[in-house]
Amino acid sequence: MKITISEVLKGCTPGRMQSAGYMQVIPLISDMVDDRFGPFGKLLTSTSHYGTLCFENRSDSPTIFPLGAGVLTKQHAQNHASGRAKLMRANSEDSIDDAACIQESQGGTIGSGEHTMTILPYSIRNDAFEIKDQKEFGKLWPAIQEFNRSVGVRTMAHLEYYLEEFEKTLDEFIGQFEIVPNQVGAIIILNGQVAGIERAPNYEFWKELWKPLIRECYGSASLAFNKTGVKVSPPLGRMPVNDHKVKDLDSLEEQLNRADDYEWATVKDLIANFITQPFKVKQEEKDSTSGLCVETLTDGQFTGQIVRDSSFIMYASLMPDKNARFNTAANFSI
Amino acid sequence: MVNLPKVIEKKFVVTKGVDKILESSMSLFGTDMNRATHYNTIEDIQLSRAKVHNALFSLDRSLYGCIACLPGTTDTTKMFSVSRLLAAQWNEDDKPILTVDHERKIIDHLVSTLPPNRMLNLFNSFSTTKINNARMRKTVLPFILNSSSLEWWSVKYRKKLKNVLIHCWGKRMASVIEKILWKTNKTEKEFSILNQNITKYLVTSNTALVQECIAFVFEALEPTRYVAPLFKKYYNARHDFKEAEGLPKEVIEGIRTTFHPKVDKAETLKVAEKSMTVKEKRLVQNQAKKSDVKVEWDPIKQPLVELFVYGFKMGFDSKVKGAINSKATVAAKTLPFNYKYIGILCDDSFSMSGSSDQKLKALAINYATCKMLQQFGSKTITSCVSDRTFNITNKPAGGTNLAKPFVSLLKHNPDAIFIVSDGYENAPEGRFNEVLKIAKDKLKIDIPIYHFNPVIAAESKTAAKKLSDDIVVTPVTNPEKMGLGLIKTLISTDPKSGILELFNLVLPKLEKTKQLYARKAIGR
Repeated sequence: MKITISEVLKGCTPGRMQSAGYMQVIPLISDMVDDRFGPFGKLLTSTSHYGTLCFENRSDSPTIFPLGAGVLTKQHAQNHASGRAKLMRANSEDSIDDAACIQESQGGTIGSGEHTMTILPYSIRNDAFEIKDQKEFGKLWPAIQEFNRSVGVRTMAHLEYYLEEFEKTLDEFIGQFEIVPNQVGAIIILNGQVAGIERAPNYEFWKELWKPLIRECYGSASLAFNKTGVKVSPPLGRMPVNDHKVKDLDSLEEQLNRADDYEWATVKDLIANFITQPFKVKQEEKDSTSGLCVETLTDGQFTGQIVRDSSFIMYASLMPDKNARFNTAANFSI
Repeated sequence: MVNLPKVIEKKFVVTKGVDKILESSMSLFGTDMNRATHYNTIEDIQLSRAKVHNALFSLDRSLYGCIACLPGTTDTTKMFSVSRLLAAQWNEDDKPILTVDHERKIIDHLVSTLPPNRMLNLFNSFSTTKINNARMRKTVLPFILNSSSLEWWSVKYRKKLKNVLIHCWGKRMASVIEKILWKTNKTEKEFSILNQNITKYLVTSNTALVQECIAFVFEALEPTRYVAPLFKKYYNARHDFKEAEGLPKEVIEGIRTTFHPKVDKAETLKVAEKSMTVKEKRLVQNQAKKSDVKVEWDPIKQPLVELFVYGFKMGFDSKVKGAINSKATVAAKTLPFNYKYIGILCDDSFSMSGSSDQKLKALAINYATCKMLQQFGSKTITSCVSDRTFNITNKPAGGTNLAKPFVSLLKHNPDAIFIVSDGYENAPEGRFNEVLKIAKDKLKIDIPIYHFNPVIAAESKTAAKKLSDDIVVTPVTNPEKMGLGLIKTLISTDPKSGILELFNLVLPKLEKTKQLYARKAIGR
């Protein structure tokens, strides 16, 4: 199978774009859902050693531990996260031994249970993915310290400082975006650039992923952008209604549609630039019984991981490839 | 009585910042349900509440009390306001706009409009909030001891009542009273103690029954000595479950699980049916359906919003739909508007799902408000932000696109437009305000536009999120009681007449508040 963004988004149609502040979310809607997959929040997670995340799936359905997911616990134990997606077969136990600690000065291993899940802040998730194969439990500490510094919280490798400090801001942030019926994913645009492409196997999985992904991961990117103090009016990618051409209600409606269409067309152009470029694929793991596998995609404009079987991609988490040509291009503007 | 117009002018209209305090407090008072929302945690809401209440109280405690008395304030607001008024000593030097007698009536009015469980929760909270003064006792004891439902309360809220009475009397005195009630022959001194702590608060109540209720609450008598029917049933039901008929449902269930564990749970519903309130009957419909027991209830006696909450869970049968229509029609008659043709823009987007502890409540308020507005005027047109046709069975879905349906409504040339939305817009954010400004400034469309907001947003300075600075936002929790919201709208357009109208609305209500006890006999 030749993997392209177009293949990743196969079976999806874009929903109406949602826009607030500097972020836009294009919902991906699909009737082609994969109901085989159950919720990941029901996974029992623990750590056996520093850097080893253990999972137990007691459900009769397989599930996916999402890329960049972290486990937060109130136990006296070190919170952990992983830069890779993990496929969990039904009624199985497994582990990741290259996970990372996200709580520098906290000791102790996590006892097995249903713990709160987060998705790492945007910049940290990208770093975590890049060094996902390194077996060094302190590997994310520099990235967390840098991130905490950039958003103005205590410069220590404690992710919870960010989550606690910005709890209210992040709640407000996610309140601005809404899940639409049959949504299974989203294209996220930040300040006129595609910041991520996310796809889940089904609506229920997406509903579970929505809050940690939009609130904690992409919310951090919006937060960091706002901290830069760069003011753009109107925000890039946002087209105001042209009041000069409004004479009556019909023309107001026309201009309103034009503004919406223009925004949509420019976003479509932006996405069209890269949807057919093929990725270089590296298989990370494969379940021989179901044929499901986890693969890492690189060398396109984007990089990330997918979960697929022989015919269909049911999970994807892609972020811009730092080295790609597209990202060196100028920001989108009208 | 002071010269209200003059005092209002002097105290409120010319003072800077009053408009903002009034706006934020009235927004909060109409929406505060002490629960987390889709957007805010309970801690945010508590913080926001304390700030808003303090600001208004500092402005004038009479105005504070009167706003809390407006129809449409939530029970949480009433409870918090009573605590605030009782906690702060009356001080003439502050020159409150009304008198101490008015304040007493305000407190009585607020307490008397609370349902019994919340009233007792409020009284119970005084021990944790450390409100322990004569004014508190003179509020709490008469309300409890003069209640015609004291026997019922004693069974249903036994522990709560005990705590409240202990807080009022103090541990030592409560223990003394308990011992006196146990005695068959009481001395003169003991009668005097009972008189000081119980009898002097009674107006028309049966003293013997009140004392028996207190004895029951404190478990001061042997079971065989009770003569009140409910107390006898309470003890007899331990041996014969059928004797429980007439007791509160929770108590029956408690007796079943403790003394008759072999009796099927469905029996509780059968035995309790006669004594259940309409609300309880509505709430057990799901359980009754599962247990194949029929519990009849009358939807018309339930609040409009609760009928929607019920409908989302159990479905809208013809009885519920009929009740919704007739209640919405009655509620529409109370609206002080005079439009013939109105446009309604209903927000049925995903954020209307509410938080996990009040699921779909925001949508229920939205739909109830829309239904009420649909009964208003001779012609209405309703559009939804989700692009669906308005239907009360639609669950929240999709983004919030207000601008397009707003323009569509304008094209129908209505006399006014009512937007019922939580104020969070994302398709895109700010588009509605853009379109509104063009319609007003460029097309000179100048019809009244109202924004009813069902969600408390603690992060917003005005407590209920606005769609535009050009539209006054009116918070709604109960569309059947819009007094608060409408006075708020009046104040924002004309502060002086709005505040005057507020006093004109509240003061007659205070005069009508039933005086539960002989004030003169116990003094202030």
